[in-house]
Amino acid sequence: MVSRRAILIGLPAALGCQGLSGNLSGSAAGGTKRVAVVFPSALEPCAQAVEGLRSRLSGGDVAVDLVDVSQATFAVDADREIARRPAAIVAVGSDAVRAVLARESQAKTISSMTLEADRAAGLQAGRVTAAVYLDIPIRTLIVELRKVFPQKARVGVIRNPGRGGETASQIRSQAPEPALLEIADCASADELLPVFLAFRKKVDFVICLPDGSLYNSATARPLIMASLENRLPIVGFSPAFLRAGAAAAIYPDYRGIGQQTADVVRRCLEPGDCASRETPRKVDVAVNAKVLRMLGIDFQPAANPDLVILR
Amino acid sequence: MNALEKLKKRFSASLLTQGLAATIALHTTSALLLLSVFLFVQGRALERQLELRGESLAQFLANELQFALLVGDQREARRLLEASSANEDVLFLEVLKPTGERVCALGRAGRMREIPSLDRGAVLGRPETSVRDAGERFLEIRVPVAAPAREGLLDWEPARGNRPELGILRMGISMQKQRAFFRRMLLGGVSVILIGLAAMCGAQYWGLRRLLRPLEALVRFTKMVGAGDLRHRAPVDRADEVGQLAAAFNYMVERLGETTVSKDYVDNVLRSMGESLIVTDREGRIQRVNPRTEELLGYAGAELMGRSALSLVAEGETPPGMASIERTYRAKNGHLIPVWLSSAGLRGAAGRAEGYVWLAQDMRELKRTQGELERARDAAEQANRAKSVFLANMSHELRTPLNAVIGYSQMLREDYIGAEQEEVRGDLEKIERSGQMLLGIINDILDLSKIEAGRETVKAQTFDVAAVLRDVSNAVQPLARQQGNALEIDCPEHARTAYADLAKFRQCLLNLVNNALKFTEKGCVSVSVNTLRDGDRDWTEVHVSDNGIGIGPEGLGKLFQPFSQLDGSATRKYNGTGSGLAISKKFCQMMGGDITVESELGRGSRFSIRLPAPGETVAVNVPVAGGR
Repeated sequence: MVSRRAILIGLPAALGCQGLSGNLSGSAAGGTKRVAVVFPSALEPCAQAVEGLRSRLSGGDVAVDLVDVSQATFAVDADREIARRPAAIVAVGSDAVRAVLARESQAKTISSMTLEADRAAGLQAGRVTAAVYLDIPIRTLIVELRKVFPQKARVGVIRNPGRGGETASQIRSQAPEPALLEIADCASADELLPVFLAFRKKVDFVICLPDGSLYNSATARPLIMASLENRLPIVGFSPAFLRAGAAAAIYPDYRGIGQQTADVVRRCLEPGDCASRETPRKVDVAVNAKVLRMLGIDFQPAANPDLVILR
Repeated sequence: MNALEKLKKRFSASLLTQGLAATIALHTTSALLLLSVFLFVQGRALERQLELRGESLAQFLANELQFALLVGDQREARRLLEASSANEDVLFLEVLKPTGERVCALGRAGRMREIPSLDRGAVLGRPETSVRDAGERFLEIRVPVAAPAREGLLDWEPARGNRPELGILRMGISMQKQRAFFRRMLLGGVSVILIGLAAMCGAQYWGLRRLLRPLEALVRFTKMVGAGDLRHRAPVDRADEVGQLAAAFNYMVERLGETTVSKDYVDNVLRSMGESLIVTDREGRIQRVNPRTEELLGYAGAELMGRSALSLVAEGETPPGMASIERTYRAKNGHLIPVWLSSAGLRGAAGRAEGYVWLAQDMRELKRTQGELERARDAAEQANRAKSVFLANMSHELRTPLNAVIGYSQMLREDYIGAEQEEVRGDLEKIERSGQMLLGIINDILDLSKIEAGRETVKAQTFDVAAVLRDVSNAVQPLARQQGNALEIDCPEHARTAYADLAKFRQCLLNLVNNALKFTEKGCVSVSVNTLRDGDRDWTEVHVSDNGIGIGPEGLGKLFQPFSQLDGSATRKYNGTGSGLAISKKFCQMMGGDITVESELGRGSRFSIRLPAPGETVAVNVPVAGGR
């Protein structure tokens, strides 16, 4: 995994961008188009996404200017960058999206590395031209899960109705075998454990969709303990969840998200409408071998050559 | 002297005690200081360790309680508290709402049934650790239980602050174990210090004893040297500074022996002295006397010490000063002892005056001997004078009848001249010759007696020396012819006058010429006169020389003694009494002159008469007792 420092130092040179000291207009000298990328370098997934974004944009006529939300000088840097009128602004992560939307700009705005539920919360209303979400479609999740656990077909999904997003019927409709899918609503952390335990003996896996209000370091532990006690494996949505005790985790390939965002940026740099809402094209599947052993579940490592195994 | 002073004195008198005390004090202080620092640091470390352990446990429990408090599950919260109370150091656990109301609590049975109330002024929303006492000292740890963060599992979302507070966890941690451990540590430390101190003191004692033993020997040795015994040497059995000190001391004693005398030696000298020795200080107080002084004065030495030396001198006599003088000591029994007293200043090594030395020699025996001698001399002189008077008187009385004998024998011989009784005439000549000889002896005795009796007088006058020489020559011509000698007389014009007693001069000259002719056979006798200046006086000298038999060195010594002709054979051969030279010498001395002789055995003699020249004052050398 490439470190954030390496990304920040290496990317501008790799992409041949001129940094923040470029032209004042959206087009740089020789027809090069300026793209401002606002991102939090402190977050590893976002940094990986930016790395993918810049690798995909490099070699073309696009100059990438990076603005780090994590820096103390972010406000000044962001205002100065917007004043240079970039052709497009890419906001990576929810904090970057909020920061960009807080400033006036005529440039096309592309959001990346956010959840679709955040849009429902008003985060991306208005100026966001295109978005690349982190939400993995339920179908992808089930398919990837079946590859690794071919014998485990019954899947339960905990959904937070307060977050908006897809409805239970929309989720069910995506399932390859809807009959094998159980969906339970959980509006708060208080209900999480009972909701989870309600899946006992009904499903083989419980898929937890990305939701910070339900899943955090405090709720994860009793949830994991309940999972182990009741032999009910959890499928998490991040490497952190996997490390916390989830039996498996399926999450987007962050670098791929960046590359996907780069593709959206290129489209937006062309004349015409580029509005789009995309989900991750590539996902990573990881298993916690220790937890699986405790739960007595076998998995097929050969089914997915990119399978990440946490031992 | 109280016990403390005795202890102080004993302490200051022993280097060993001082060394040990210093060691104990130093090491005890150091050890206690180190132990204090160690215990303080360890105590703080233990307390901090307990705090960290307690805070860690409290934080862990607070995290565990998050979900229970979040969902309001009191049973779960109590279960978690019970699980945590398995740790025996936990005295109590209490979970409070943010408002301070109790949610649940658990106290350790038998130790803390009542859970202590919150400390006044405690701020609930802030983690805090404090030491409290509620019958037992304990550590109270207060930790807020915050709501779980929204994120945590969303890798792409940053952490959010201001987590809502769900409650407060209070935990009491017993400090009993820590205090017990501290006590054990203190006990162990003190034990180690005591053992170490004992070992160190033992080692120090051994080391000091080893170090001081030679010093003690050196002290004993020093006392011996101080008492004047320079024969011994300090043992040098070490190479360190103590050994070097002993060697240096031996060297010093050797040098001392070479450069000074020992007390024994001085005592022996003083004891052997026949004189009285008194040594005083500058004020004249007696500091030392020798045994002879005690014997002389009859005092014991101790009686004289400190007493004024002047009190020993008889009343009316002044101090001796810096001289040798006759003084009188007054003995203890009151007797006066004449002494020859020599006084000298006593000076120290730096030349500073330190007193006086009186050296007195007992003169009693000397005085007694001197008195006896004086008495003997007076008696002898008296006897001699009596003898001389007697002899003078007797000589006169003898000469008168002898002259009659000689005269009558001459008369008889003249009567028999021409007679035929040759035998009678020969006898008469023998009588006359013996009478003449006897008369000569008597005359000599008479002259000597008169001289010794002081009856001989000098009647000086100026006379013609040449005339005297002519008379003498005439008188001795028969003898000269008889001996076959030539008589030569030389009297220059400038020496013709002399000033002396004419009769005595003539007698002296006749005696010398007569002797010269008598002891010379077929030789030459010369008489010469001259004048000379010797010193500041003018003298007339008459030399009588011969080439006769001469006189040896032994003979020269007794030549001028009365009746001392060299031997009996000479008397018989040459006639005479042997008193002529003695009388002549006496006469010359009476006239202020003298007779001297130069002679060599077998080569002849030269007699010289020296008399003051005319005009010089006649100094009579032989005292004249008085004349008639």
